[in-house]
Amino acid sequence: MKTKKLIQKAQQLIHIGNNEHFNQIVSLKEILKELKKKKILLKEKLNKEEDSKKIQNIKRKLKVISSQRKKGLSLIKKLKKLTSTSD
Amino acid sequence: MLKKILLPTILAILAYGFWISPNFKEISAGVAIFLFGMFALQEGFATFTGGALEKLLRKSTDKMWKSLSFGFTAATVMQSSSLVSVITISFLSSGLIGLVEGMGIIFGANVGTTTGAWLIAGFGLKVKISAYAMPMLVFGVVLIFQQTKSLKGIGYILAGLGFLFLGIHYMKEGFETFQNQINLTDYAMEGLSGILVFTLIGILATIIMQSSHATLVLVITALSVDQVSYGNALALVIGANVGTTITAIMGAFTSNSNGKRLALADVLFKVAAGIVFIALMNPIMGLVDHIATLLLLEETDYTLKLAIFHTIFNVSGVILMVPLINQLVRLVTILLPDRKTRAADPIYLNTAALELPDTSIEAVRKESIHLYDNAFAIIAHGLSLHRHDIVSANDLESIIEKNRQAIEIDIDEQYNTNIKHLYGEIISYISKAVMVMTPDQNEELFVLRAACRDIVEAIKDTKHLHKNMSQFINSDNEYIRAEYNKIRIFLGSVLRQISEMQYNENHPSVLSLDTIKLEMKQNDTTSNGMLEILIRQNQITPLMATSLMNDSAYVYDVTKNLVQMAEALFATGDLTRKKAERSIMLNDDDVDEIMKTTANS
Repeated sequence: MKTKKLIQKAQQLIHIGNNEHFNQIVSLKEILKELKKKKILLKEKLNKEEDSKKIQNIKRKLKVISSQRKKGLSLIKKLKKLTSTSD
Repeated sequence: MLKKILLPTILAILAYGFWISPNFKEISAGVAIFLFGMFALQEGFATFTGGALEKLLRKSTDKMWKSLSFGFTAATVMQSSSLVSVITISFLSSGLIGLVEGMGIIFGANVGTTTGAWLIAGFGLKVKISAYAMPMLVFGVVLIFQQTKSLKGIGYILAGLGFLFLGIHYMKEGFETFQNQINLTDYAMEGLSGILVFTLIGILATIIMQSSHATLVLVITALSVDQVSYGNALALVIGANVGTTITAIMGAFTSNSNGKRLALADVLFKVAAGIVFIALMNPIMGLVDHIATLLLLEETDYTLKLAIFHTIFNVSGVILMVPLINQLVRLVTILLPDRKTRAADPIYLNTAALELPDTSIEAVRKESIHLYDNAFAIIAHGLSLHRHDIVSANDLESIIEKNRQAIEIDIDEQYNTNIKHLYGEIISYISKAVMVMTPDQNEELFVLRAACRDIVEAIKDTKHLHKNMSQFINSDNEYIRAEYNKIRIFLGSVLRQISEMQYNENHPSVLSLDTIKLEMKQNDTTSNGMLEILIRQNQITPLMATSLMNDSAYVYDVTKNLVQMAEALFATGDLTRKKAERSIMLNDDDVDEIMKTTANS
């Protein structure tokens, strides 16, 4: 019985590995990580910046990144749900 | 005219041959089955070229030894140097590899193809290979009927090998019975004239069969049953080596200058080696005998000696040519100089790449960038800006302040001269390329096609914008002048950001372009209240206001089209990464949402 379960688990893993959703989740996580790094850098830059035009520009970039990350996180949630239901 | 009569003549000769000689029929059937096996084998490999082979090729050609090894391995596995040549030409034409790397692969493939002669001479004629052919054919055909693409591919490869073996078997049988009736060695020719005549026969046979392998099999089997003299067989091998370049030449017809140069280099290599070998036939025969003795072969084992000769021919050619590769590149570049192409002529689209999905996607992407390059000049001039100013690091505001004079440009004429034809060529190429694609690859092509449409739309919107802009940037009314200059600064900065993305290899992700979408909405004169202020304070006339309103819509469209285009053309990474990036790019609703939260805060 135990062996059977183990095989099932392995099959699930193999299935997930080939799954398109799984690959997309991996890519999205990678992109979100990069965006987070960029966000931290921009915040540091914003604290040092004095030029109002440049400040406005950085703020705009930060808003865009936040919105992209929000979109990405909700997409990951959706994809994870889809993957678990298809299994 | 010649084309029209050639095929019926060949068919008539064959029919007559079949009528008078059953052995000739058997040998010809063997050749036909062998060639059919080659087709099936190529079909099988094509199933697996949906990325893997192409990715491997791209990674394996950054050094000469790697290019040579890759060519050797590919030709050994595929048993066809011609197939490798055609694939290499398509890679070269698509700009994925350089001419030197391409030559490395082809030279390596020439050595790789010699393994075929060893297999046929050492294995094919000693074992009853038809015994292997039958099960291969049965398993192959069963697999061909399967739905899964990879199983189908394996099926084609197995059936291909089965047919190859069966073809060899029939050729051998035919020659064996033939031997009892007529002795072809009676027609053997000695001396230089014999070498030249049989070399020519080898060339012609390979051109007709489109395969040096088929010629080699024919020669080796004929030699094994003493139907051709050893000396004449060597000349036939030289001919087969020269004749095999026909596939590369045909592949190069539809390719760009670099593809043609590669085919020419292959021809020069083979012809030069052929001339040297004909001139030095006797010493080389001595060398072959010496090597055969070292390998403990029998004096009369001519088939394996032929394989040795074939290997020496190609290996020595490569040893001689590799150090001279740069000179060879220079020579073929002089012999085939770059055609002076019109800006609207495609550079990267070549039909040989159509069978290779990843390569054809890359070709379409590069050609779309070419289309954008042409469009960039039109859009920049439409904004009365010079290209060099946009790509420079100078402040756009001060550049625009200095350039108050409108640049005269007939955008319709520019569109017809530099865009329309190229756009049509890309669309037509895409419609052919989608035939062999997976859904993901199809989606990528769809995105690229949409990017081309965005480029064309951006030009059309610039045309509308240009009319009022050229009038108002030189207006005495400083307010309207300032508004139109703001548009120029904004669109100039959009073009500049896209250029940075295009020319900087380590550019940020295309997601950074989303900032432009937000900036575009925030700067929209009609929605940010600026237009009302200008009208209320009588700073601009109502006529100017309507022009500005209409043109703001064009600015919005030009920006949107350019950003969408750049997001498609300059995205990096594999298809999954691109897809993931696209899924989190901001759309209009997302940008409106940011605007709302900004306004509330």
